[in-house]
Amino acid sequence: MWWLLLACAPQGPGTLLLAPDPDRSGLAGAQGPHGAAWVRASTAARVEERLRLEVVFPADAQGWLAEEGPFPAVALVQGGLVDVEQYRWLSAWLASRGYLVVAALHDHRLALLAADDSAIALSAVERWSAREGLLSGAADPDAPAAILGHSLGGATAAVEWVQDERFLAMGLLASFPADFTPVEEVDRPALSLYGSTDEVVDPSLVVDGFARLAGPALLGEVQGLNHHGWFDDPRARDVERDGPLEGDLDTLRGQAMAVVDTFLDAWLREDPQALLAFEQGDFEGVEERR
Amino acid sequence: MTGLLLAATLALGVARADPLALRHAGVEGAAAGVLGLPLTSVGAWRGDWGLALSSRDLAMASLEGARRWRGDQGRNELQLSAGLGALWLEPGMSGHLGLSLLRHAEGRRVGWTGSLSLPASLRLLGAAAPGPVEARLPLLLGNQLGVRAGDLWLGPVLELGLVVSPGRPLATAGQLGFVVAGPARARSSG
Repeated sequence: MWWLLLACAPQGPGTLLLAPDPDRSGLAGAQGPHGAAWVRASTAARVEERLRLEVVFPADAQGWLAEEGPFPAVALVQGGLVDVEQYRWLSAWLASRGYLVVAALHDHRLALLAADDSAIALSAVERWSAREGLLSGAADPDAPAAILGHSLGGATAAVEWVQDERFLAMGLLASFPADFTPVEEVDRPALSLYGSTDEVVDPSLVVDGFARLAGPALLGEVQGLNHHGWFDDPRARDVERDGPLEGDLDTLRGQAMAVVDTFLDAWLREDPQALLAFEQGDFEGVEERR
Repeated sequence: MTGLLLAATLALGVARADPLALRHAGVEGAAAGVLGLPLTSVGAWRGDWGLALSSRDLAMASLEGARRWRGDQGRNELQLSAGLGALWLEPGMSGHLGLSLLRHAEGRRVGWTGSLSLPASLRLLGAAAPGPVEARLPLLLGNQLGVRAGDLWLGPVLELGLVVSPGRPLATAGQLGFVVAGPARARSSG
């Protein structure tokens, strides 16, 4: 009867990444008061394939879903040959601020091989939200979602953003849309962030890709951040090909996340102050290049 | 011996859903098992009618029937298959229709098979369907080498292709596995 269990929504509790702390402000650039926990599950994709996904959610101290749901959903697309768990710092950050982070575990860690996996994963979480289980009430299927992608995952995120209007907002982290992805046909909001010392992604491609965006958008260069600062435990031989981190990694990440937080709060929560801050584009440690 | 092999393949229960085993059983044998990822399949022919049981990712199981037409002394082969699948990861049912073209060649001990296969799948029922029906059209180009070992045919399987679904971005499909087919029999022309 094991297959009956597989058919069920994920059961809890999740594995705690971050304990709740009411003293964390949750202002843009700071973690929020929620705890963060992760759970993995499988869903069906493309008729009959198995797609594994990881959900990092706002949690209480025991790893159960926090009570204030439903939470705005953010799909996170992993970079090429990077594991989803290497982005848990980012997922936990967002979850602590009340976002539900859904990350498809792409085959061979290459998101481009199946560009709609994030949309499929989000659909699964929305179904599980309507059932009994750990994620019951976690997401609102009628609420807009965002999609964030790092590096190669950003190119995939752009494909999904163009294809699926559920993704109101798109965030490109050290990335750019491929030439064949018609982002210029989409007038929804977008964010493009890259590090000033990133030597993996050509900045001119990031700038050119940003120039094709038709909706409200912000391009920011995080001063001192490199390509591998976006995820934990990069391989030494990859880091050797990247530029240096110029500053404390936690500080640089915090400055980058201030922009991401503002972007998400503005478009998924319709927070007027965040919207104003997004339009002004004045962030510490980030040079706006809109 | 063949029964044992098929039972072992079933028991191990690894990889996939178009009647892959029947394509490989078509090499020369009456029955075949393919142990692989993401699809595992076992199948057998009785004359030119075949039956296959397959599982992909342990997320579904399908039962499919096939008819084949052979020509050029068995070197060329056309297979048509149809079947139903049970999906339990997100409970539902799927339907399958497939068309495969195969070309076999072999020396005294080593041979190869090339195949071009167009299996199409529909999700007929189930919660995971974003709409009433989802179509899947993987175009798989396969090529496998094999060696004869007594009455058996042994060899690796490698297939690559694309998954085309209306309104969805392209996805890729791949299959890696190992085929055991047997017992070897003289080819009959179609």
